[in-house]
Amino acid sequence: MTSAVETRGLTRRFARRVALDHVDFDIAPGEMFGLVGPNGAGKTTLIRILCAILRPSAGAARVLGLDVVTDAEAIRPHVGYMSQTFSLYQALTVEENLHFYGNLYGGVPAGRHRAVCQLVGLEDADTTRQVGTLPTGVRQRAALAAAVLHQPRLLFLDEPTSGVDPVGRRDFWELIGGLANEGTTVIVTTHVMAEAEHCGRVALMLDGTVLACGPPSELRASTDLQVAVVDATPWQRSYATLAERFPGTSLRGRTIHVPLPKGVDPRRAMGDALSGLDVRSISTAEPSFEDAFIWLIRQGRSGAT
Amino acid sequence: MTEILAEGVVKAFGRTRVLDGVDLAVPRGELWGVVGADGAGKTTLLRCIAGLLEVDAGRVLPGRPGQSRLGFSQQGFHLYSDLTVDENVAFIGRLYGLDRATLRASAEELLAFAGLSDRGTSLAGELSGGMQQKLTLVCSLLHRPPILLLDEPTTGVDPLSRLEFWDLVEHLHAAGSTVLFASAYFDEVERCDRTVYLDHGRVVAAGTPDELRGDHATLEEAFLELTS
Repeated sequence: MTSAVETRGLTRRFARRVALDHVDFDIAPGEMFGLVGPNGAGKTTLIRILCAILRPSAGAARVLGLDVVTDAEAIRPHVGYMSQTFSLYQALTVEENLHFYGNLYGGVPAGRHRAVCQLVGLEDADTTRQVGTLPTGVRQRAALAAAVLHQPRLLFLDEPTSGVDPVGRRDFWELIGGLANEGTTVIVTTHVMAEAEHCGRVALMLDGTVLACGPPSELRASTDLQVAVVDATPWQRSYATLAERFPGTSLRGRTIHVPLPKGVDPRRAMGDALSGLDVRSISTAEPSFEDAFIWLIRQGRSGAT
Repeated sequence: MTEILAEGVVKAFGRTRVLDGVDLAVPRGELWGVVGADGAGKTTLLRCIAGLLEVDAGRVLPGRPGQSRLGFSQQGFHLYSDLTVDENVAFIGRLYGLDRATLRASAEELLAFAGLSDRGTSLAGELSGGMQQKLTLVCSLLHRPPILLLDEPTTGVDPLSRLEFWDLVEHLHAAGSTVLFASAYFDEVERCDRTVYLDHGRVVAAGTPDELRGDHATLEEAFLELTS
């Protein structure tokens, strides 16, 4: 079966920097594929190339079997793109926005507006209100409605849950999981690592390259880490002390996560770093995807991988 | 002594009451977080407290007269993309009326702490999202305000940059600043001295993170139950 997305040596240079540097991967039809990485890693540039709205400087990319440079016009009807910044007209109502986008795609069948509103959970929302006056969560559903109006086979979501509250975020991921189950290929970026775990596979990007790619569980296992979960008081000083000694140390609330090699005794491994700290408890855990992210990015930046 | 205050604050836009009698009082030197669903009124509350919006009823501190003591980091990126980091800093510093020597000393220290010292000649628009957020914070701190209001300062910022950003805020808090921030990340809110839950323009719960968590495993679970 043809890949939904296929890139080979994909490179994009801007005047002063390389945004994408020889990126290779394949995404199968119906996959829910995550792109994560620090700000500036190249995620948005990659999405814009795959939507055929930005040309690569070198290398090749095929989307739904079509070349992003020579077949750009043929690709666009089949992809939907929800950008970081809201792509709807704030002064128009939801209905007006849907009409506008529908016309851009050469019109959509009667009844499609209602169907799409139902799909994204807007059936009870007032679609005659100006988009700019709607709460973030509703606005973001409306933006999704516009992105899937023409029933794209491939859907790009660039930080779709940015600025959305926790309840809205949870519901939104259920929604896009449903779209993927129905056969739409979904490519999504996020900065919330717990969300990235909804994806079948995730590519971890850094400085325009793919640092690691695979199912979240495999990426977590690839770190070969255990995490010492340290509860110490005051947490500020304890965190500063441990972070200085153990790169990749991070905070969850007031709890300190210290990445350690698998198999070592955490108290022994942290040794004298703990002396002088008022430690209430230490336990060990499997690394979360966020622990793995922080570890892999730090490794990548120090050139250790 | 209360540094940040909202007392019976009401604010309506048209027929919509966005704030419906909000009370909170942050004592000097404390770090408080405001959480709530989209549209709960977090941004409006911070803008009222900063004196950018006039309240319909109630009273706020610092409000307009206190603005020289206030640093307000608004949601999103509000700096000049076509200016360099140094030019943005110089421009904002001049708006605060800082003389050259004061500005240089202040900027040098803050940029160093934010890890931006070697980016002085980069265009602000070319910085990553995390760096832009840190630059926004730096610019709101140039005049060394003792009071800080931060509206979702880490939205769209990656996990590593978020850690670095909070290192900077924690550094200021430890040095005695009073901070009130709005956030959608519960992990961040767990680190503050007290948390305020806002729902439909009202404070529905307030307390230390431990108090609010109660029997729940996380603050997020407690919040989801409260709002469901």
